[in-house]
Amino acid sequence: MVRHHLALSARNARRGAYVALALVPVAVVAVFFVLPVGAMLHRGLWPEGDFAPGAVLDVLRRPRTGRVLWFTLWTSTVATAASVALGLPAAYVLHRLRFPGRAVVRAALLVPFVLPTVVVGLAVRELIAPSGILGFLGLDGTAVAILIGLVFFNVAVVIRTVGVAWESLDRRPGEAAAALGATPWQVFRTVTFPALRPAIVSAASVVFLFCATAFGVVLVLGGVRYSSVETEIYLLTADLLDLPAAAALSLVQMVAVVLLLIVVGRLRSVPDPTVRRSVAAPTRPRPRDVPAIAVTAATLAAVALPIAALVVGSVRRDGHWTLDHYRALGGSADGLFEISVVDALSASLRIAVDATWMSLLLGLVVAFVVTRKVRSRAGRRARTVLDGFFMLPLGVSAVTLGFGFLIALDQPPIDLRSSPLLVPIAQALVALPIVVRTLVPVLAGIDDRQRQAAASLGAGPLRAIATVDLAVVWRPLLAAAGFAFAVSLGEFGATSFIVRPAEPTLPVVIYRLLGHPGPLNYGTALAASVVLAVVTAGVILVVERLRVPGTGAW
Amino acid sequence: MLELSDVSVRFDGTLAVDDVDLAVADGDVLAVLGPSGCGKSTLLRAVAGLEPLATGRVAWDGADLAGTPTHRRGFALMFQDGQLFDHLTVARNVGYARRLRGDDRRAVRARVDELLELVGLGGYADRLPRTLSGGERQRVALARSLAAEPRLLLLDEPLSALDAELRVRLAADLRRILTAARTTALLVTHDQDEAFSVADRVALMRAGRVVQEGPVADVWRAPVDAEARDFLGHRRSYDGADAARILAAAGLPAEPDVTIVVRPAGGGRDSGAGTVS
Repeated sequence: MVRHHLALSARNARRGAYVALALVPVAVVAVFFVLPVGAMLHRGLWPEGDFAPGAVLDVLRRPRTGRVLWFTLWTSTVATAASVALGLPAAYVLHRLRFPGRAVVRAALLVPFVLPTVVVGLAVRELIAPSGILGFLGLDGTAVAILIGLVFFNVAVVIRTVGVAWESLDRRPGEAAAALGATPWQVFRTVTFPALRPAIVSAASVVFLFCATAFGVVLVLGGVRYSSVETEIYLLTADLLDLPAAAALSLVQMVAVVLLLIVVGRLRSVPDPTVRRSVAAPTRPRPRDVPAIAVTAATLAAVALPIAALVVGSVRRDGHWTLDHYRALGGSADGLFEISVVDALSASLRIAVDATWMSLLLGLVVAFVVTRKVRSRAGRRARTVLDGFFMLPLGVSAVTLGFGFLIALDQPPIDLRSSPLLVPIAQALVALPIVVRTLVPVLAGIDDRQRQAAASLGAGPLRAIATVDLAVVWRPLLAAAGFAFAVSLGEFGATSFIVRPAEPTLPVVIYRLLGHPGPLNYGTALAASVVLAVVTAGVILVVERLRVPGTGAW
Repeated sequence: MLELSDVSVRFDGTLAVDDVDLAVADGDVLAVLGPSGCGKSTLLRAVAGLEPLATGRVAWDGADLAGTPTHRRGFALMFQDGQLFDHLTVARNVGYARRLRGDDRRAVRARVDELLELVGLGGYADRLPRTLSGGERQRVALARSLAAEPRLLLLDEPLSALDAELRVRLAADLRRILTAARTTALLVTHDQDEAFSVADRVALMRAGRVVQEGPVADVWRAPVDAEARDFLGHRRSYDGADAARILAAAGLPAEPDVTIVVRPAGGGRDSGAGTVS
């Protein structure tokens, strides 16, 4: 009995430590995510304290709601298809071929994804405005403008996710097929594509998700004519104060996203995530690679154009070259604002530092908990549920989260309205899914027997983790830090609700500048966007250098 | 010495190890031999403390190990594929256990060089595991396990990932190294040559149970049943119609209920020559 007791207590102690560790992020997500979002839904569904789902149904029957839903659906679908079509050839060229300048092109194509959405919107608008380089196409104010913005933003996701899968793809099955008489196209169709399909499906669904919840891009480019679910929620809560309608749309969005996440999880799951990472040596381009290279070059140009337009726009005024807009960054444009862009940038950076360490700490614990080997079937099921729970922030509108913060965390015991930590906490939650997705494949790829080997040589549990896990995870951890930092710098949806008026972040100031007439305000917004873009791109270039080959898909 | 009594291990309801009793005396090498999926690796992991027991006990010198976690058992486990730490050099892999104990840097290095010589890899200290061949990796893994100076060495199919020629050579080396240091070892394998050339005693395992245990020569000479006999050789026993056909071909008189056993000559290694009884 005694020895059984001993064995049980040792195992229970380990299980207890595991559960305690798991409870930390669960508590954080519960307080700072479930509670605010729940409060927002509560306001909408129980408007007078009574449950009134009728109001919600009424909202869903409004013709405008139907138009918004349809617009979100079709723009997301088209933008996803276009992103995949452009991203696949680029993924091949950038991850399987070898040519000078490859690293630079790769980093350049990744930049749009981390650009703040407001900046992306502004860059595309600058490109297609009547005075812009593509002004003659007359795209300004059309749905095509929004599509361009969404594709510009998301093609990087496809390149990165599919490219990473492609570069670790074993070359030999394809060679075997070729030896059996398959043409290059047949090899792609019968061997390469089936092997890449999980990555393509995964990338497409994430892109769809980003498109369907895009906020800044649609807000800046859509004007008053076009509204997606996300901007509509913003409009309903911030301007019209029609909370039941906003709650109804949030609910629809949440249900759709959760369903999508479940489908993606099913499609993405593989029986054994353990990998001995191999990276196939890239080859020199051959004549048959020309079409793919051409598409990649075109994509690169398409990504460069809006950015070029943005930069040019920031140094031109009334047909002259000028640095006035940059000079205005230090002071306040037209005297309308008491906050200078420089102050906003330093506030943004300070907030980003806080958001980064919060999401890293949280993400590390989450990744650690969901990748532990669990013995019992019930334990495995609990872990799957937990995994999905931490992905929730990916699926809920940032606007809903921001508004939820505003109404749920403003009274004791949790009164954070005036706390400087409120904005970083919200941004950390927005960044959490990306941090987790960056760390999980790496931790899951570690063969558990490595830790067992360390233990059998006398290493205690912490020492085994230090030997095995830390050696592998520090680089992706730094990369995740870069992503979290970039996400925080660009976050706009949630931040616009909860930021303290006296201490706005840079994206918020840019949006405010846009909202006020005057060429100097507009030009200053462009200049501020360039500054923000340079800072985020700089962070991402550092991240790109730290990437572990064969990992880093979303 | 290691003693297992009534040991069972259960996975989601199925019994992987079923009521096993075994003992390994100090300085002995015991091979657990059985087909893949018979539960032998699970048994080894249970001894290492990596699988919880459903019933029974694992004891060392009479002391129950139930409450002792893997890293305090002093049993070094060598995996089938080595499980070297790829980010550490050969020397740092081999010296890992000594460094954990806080040994003096110079002493660790001296011991590492000694062990690398022992396994025939002198001068490999600063290589990274990825640059080694399969056989070299297994040698490093063996040196790493030996450096821990375990009271018991656990070997999980240490040679089966290697090609045939290398396996024979390494098996002889392994035997030499283990006996030279009088290491107590528990080896599991599906390869009878590996078992018979490395171990002093053999336990045959089938479907989670140990069906026969004894000195190598005894088990070889008198397998407990026909299945054990067939497993020990690639079908080296014949009865019924097959036996009658062989007798007829050899020009011998037919006998009812005869079993013909073909036995290779010399210590169990295939040499081509053999006797028929």
